[in-house]
Amino acid sequence: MKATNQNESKQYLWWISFVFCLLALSFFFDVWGGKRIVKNNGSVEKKYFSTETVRTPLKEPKLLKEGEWYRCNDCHQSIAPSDVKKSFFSAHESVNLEHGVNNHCLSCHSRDNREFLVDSHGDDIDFTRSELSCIKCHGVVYNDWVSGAHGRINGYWDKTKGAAEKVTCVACHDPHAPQFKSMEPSPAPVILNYLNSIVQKDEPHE
Amino acid sequence: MSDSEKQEPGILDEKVSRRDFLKRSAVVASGAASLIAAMSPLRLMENGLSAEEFVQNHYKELSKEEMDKVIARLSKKIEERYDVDANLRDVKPMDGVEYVYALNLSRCNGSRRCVHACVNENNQSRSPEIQYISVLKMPKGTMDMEQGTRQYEPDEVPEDDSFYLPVQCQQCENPPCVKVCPVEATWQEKDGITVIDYNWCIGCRYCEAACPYWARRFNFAEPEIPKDRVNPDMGYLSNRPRPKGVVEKCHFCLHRTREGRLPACLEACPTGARIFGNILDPESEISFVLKNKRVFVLKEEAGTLPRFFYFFD
Repeated sequence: MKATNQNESKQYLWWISFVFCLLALSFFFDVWGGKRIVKNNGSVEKKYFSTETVRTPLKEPKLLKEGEWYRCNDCHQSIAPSDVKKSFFSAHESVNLEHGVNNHCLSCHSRDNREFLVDSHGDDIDFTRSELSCIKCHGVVYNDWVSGAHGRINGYWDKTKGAAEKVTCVACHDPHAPQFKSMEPSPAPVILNYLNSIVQKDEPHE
Repeated sequence: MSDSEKQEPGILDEKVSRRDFLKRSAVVASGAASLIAAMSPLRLMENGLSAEEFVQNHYKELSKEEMDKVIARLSKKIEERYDVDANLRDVKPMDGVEYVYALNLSRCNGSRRCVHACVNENNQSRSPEIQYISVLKMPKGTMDMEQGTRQYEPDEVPEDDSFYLPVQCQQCENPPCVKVCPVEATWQEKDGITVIDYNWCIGCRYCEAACPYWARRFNFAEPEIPKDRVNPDMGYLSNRPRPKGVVEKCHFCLHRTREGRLPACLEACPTGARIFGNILDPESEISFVLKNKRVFVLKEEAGTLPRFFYFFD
């Protein structure tokens, strides 16, 4: 009885040594370890995380027509204002007016001088202060914007350390068609991160 | 060897024939060889893990001088690997500041600009991909996050009948992830940000399982960042390159926000849906939002007291 036990255990020893030898070979030649089986996703284009505003409003009241810039008063000194809604001369056919019930040019543009806008008092204001024209109808949103609950802010939250760069309404909203435009979304997350085939070696790291 | 074997009790007790001796020697030799081979990954440590790194103390127990040494060592490694002169520093929380984030779901259009701004700012791995922010496309009429999906690829967003719910670390006041960490590698700082010491994390992923918001990510493989995209503006507890096998998550861009700047996801948001600031300052934008908007938190019933609020207006 004892002898047979001994023989069996010797059999096991042979098997174990065989398995160990295989393991030793596989480890030595690095069959499993250190291989990178990750799919290379590459970089995402920079436009997909740009901090630019969706529009770049003109700083001055001017119009590009057939390759040349015109000031408003180049024409409007001689052309009388029209109260007819959506009656555009050829110069303004690019304007797509989709501003709800507000479909009169002179609701926002000054009747007397087209290089200015009008505020709630009927006074002329500069194009750079266009939000004072929007406030005539959008008072609630304007209050949110002033308080920081509406609109984009870049820079510093801590006003003692640096400036908070606020943008005005027209940096995001086209005043003629103010609904925020649809945009192309940035790439979706990658689900399949791993490959079946081996691509490259894992590099040592910190 | 044979001398010691002869003195052993049990199976080696009896007289050993020449054949048996050779057999046993073969077993012992192959076992030893496989043990040595199994330890061969340690050879990689020449470059990967230095002795100083191995004995490095917990973040909270590092003195100023030790921290300077750690930062010098890490900076050198970052320069070797990514060819960038990193401005790595240990940014401490400010006094009298508690950060709160708010997100206007009426404005969010699901453009995912925040997701990629975050990846770029925080040196997240591109392959395999790690992202801190999950923008869920949700059917209108429910707040059940189970019905949302991250995988939407239309030509243009927003889509009809959907709203978008970006979810990231909620910086809870009662964080379940901190409670479960067996080695205290993650903790809440006094400005409300829950941070991770990547050199102390053992990669058990308990925190990942404990988080009700799916905010934590695990580095299953060696993170890969393109050299031209490495952000050299680094914090020790925030966006320095992480090793394989540790957990990471959103930290409200603490290397930016603790120096007064706004988080990267907020600056990239095209619609201005994100509002961030110091809740202890009654004049701040975030205080205005919390006072004037009907804000809510996700999974309120979990009792985590998030510092991340959502609202519609």
